[in-house]
Amino acid sequence: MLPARSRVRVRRFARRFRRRVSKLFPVSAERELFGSRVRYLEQRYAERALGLGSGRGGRERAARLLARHLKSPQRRCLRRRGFFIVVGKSGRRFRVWARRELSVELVNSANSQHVQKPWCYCIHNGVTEDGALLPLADYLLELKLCLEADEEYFMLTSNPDFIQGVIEKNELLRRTSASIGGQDAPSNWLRACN
Amino acid sequence: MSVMRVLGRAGDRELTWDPETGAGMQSAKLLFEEKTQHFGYLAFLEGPNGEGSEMIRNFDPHASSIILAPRLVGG
Repeated sequence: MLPARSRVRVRRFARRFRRRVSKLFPVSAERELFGSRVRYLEQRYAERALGLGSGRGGRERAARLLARHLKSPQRRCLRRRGFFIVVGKSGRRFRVWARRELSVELVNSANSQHVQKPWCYCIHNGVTEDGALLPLADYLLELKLCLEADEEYFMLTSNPDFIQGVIEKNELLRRTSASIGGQDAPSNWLRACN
Repeated sequence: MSVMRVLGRAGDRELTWDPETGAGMQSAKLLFEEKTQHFGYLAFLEGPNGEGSEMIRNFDPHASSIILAPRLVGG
C-alpha cells in the first residue's frame, strides 16, 4: 500500500504523462464525440452499406462540424451516454440519440410509461441525392438544427411511435390544412417544404 | 466571408463568398437553388455562435453561415 503522498505523486505523474502523449498523438474528433460502442456500430453500418457509406475522413470531418455546434455539456453527454438534449422553440426537450433508427426521443415528465417505452419519432435523412449515406454526425446535426429551427416541420415530417404524438401530428396537419384551405393541402404544403 | 456547407457522404463541402464584393456569390446561389429546389435539401441559417438557427427557403446573400442538408423523411 502506497502512502497518500506517493499516491498523489503517481497520479500527478500519470496526468502529465497522459497530457504529453495526447499532444504527440492528437485524438480524432469522432473519438472525442462518440463512445466506443457508437463508433463500432457506425463502422459496421458503413461497411454494410455496400460502398455507399462514408469513409473515415468523411466521418471525422462530420464529427468536427457537429462538435462545433454542440455545447460542452452536450458533447460530454453524447460521449458518455450516447445522446444530447435539444430544446425546441416550444420549450420541449428532445433527446437526440447517436443511432440511425428512432433517434429522436421526446423527454416528457408526464409520460408515466417512460421506463417501459420511450416516446420516439421515426425519421430518416441519411441519404443524399446520389444514394450515398451521410455520416452519423451530419445526420445528428441536421436533426438538431431542424428541431431548433422549425419544430413544427419536424413534427409534420416525422412519424411518432406513441399515441399522443400521432394525435398532435393530426392536429397540426388539420391546422395547416385549414390555414391553406384545401382538401389535400397538407401534402402540398409538405411537398413545398421538401 | 460567408460560408455555405453542403452535407454529403464525405462530410461537409464548403463554399465561400464575399457579401460585400459579391465574389463567389453567384455560384453559391446557383448551388443553393439546385440543392433546395431540385433535390429538396433543407437550408439552415446559422445564428451567431451557432445558436438560434433558422430554416430558410431562399438564398440570403448576407448570411454568415448556411448549412444545406438532405431532406428529412418520415420513417
